[in-house]
Amino acid sequence: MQMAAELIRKDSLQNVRAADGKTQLFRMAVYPESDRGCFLSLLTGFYIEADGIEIPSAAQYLSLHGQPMRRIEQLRTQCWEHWDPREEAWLYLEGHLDPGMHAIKFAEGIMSGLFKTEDSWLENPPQPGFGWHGSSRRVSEYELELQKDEAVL
Amino acid sequence: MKRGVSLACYRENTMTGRLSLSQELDLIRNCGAEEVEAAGEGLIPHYPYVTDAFASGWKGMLKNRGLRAGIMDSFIDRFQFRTHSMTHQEMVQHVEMDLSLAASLGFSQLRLMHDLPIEVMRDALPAAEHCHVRMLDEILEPGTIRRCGGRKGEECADIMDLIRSTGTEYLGLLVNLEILQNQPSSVELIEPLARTRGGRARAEQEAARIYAGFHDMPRDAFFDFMHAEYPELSSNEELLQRMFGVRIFGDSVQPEDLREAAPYIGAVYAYFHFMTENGDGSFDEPCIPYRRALSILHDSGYDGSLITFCMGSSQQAFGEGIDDICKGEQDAVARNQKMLQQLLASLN
Repeated sequence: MQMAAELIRKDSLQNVRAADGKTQLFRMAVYPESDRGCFLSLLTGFYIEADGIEIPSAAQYLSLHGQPMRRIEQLRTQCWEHWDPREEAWLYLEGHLDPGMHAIKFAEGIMSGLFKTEDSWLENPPQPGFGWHGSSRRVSEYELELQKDEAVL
Repeated sequence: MKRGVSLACYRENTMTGRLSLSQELDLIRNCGAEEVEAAGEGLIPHYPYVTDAFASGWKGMLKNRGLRAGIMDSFIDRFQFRTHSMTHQEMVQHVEMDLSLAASLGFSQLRLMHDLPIEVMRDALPAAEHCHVRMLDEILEPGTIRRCGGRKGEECADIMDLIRSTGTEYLGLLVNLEILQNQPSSVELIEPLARTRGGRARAEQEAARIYAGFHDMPRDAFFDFMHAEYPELSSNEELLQRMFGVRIFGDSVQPEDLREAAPYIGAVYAYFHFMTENGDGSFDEPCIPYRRALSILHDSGYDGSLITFCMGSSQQAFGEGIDDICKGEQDAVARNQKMLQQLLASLN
């Protein structure tokens, strides 16, 4: 149901320098698509393409509430930790971006709602961007410029 | 009847940060409305853990503007616990939790999800009575009020039966007047037609032709007509389903049905798709027979809340930019409130 609001802060795309000097990551600041937010347990991941390359949820990490970044799989147990509307979270992704503009496709996977859903999704949740509920089918497209400064992890 | 506004109407303004909560409350007060509806999950930072500071701040914001907390919305996500689908008892506990939160924030009513089982409402009744918060079951499109074989019609009647059998004051209906919609909304036609037929003026002509077909043609003939003449619309399956939904349910839900439900109604949604300007300073929602509906509610003794509510309120704006959309939301709420104010004045 996201209509006009941006899900990614436009000036937030940046590479990340990991402490071990080896891991390659980049990140962007993202917002929940629902105006009621969601419990983190409902988040199944993000559909992301960066310059035409899809980044699987296993290579995605979320950081919010002052916590270090967590794998999407780790969020499954956060049944009462709420991602509030307009609350910014950092989405970390494995990979490295070159300077300049980047084409980002983005959708959130949130298993919200009550009864018009399938129990089988408990074992095999639908993938974000696949079109299973609400606007998760809506893949937003962004042209974002990589920030010059690197974030340090 | 008391007018109110759902904060959901300002969705895009909220999500883009164009308006703060206090600015939205200012707009509601400026409309002359008395009540505010809000989703607990969207309103309370770090829901469901409400702090005393937030609760007192919220109450203070309302008091300073002469507003009341009307309805809090409760949402249940079936897969919140991920290891299993939420059980009956867990749903009851969730409703009980929201009843307590609503009470702590001064809300008098709690809107439940329209597909929540009636057994959950029944088992949450003691908590509602303890909290002095009335639970409301929303009757929304394609629902009906009368028993007619449809699930929502049955549910509405079942709720009334439950209220009668228990004598409770803490359960009621939230009737969304969208159920009375009797023709497709122009906004669903004009916006896509304007893109494909060369502008707004031409789109309005085409929409008038579609309306004529909608009202005059048999269902199948209209379906063929749409496919042949307006492929840009008929390829939109959701739109067609909604249009035919209106054809089906528009015949089965009549404003007169509100008479039977009136004693059980806790609140009414003054839903709109698109508020039109009549040129004389008045406004209208042409898809919904508002004058007739409010007249019947008034004659039936209903004196509860009448809440401005819409989904996808950015439909009010045809502009492309976020500023247009946000401004459109604000204008649409003000127009709806003005319409309600004028209609209610004409009843008294």
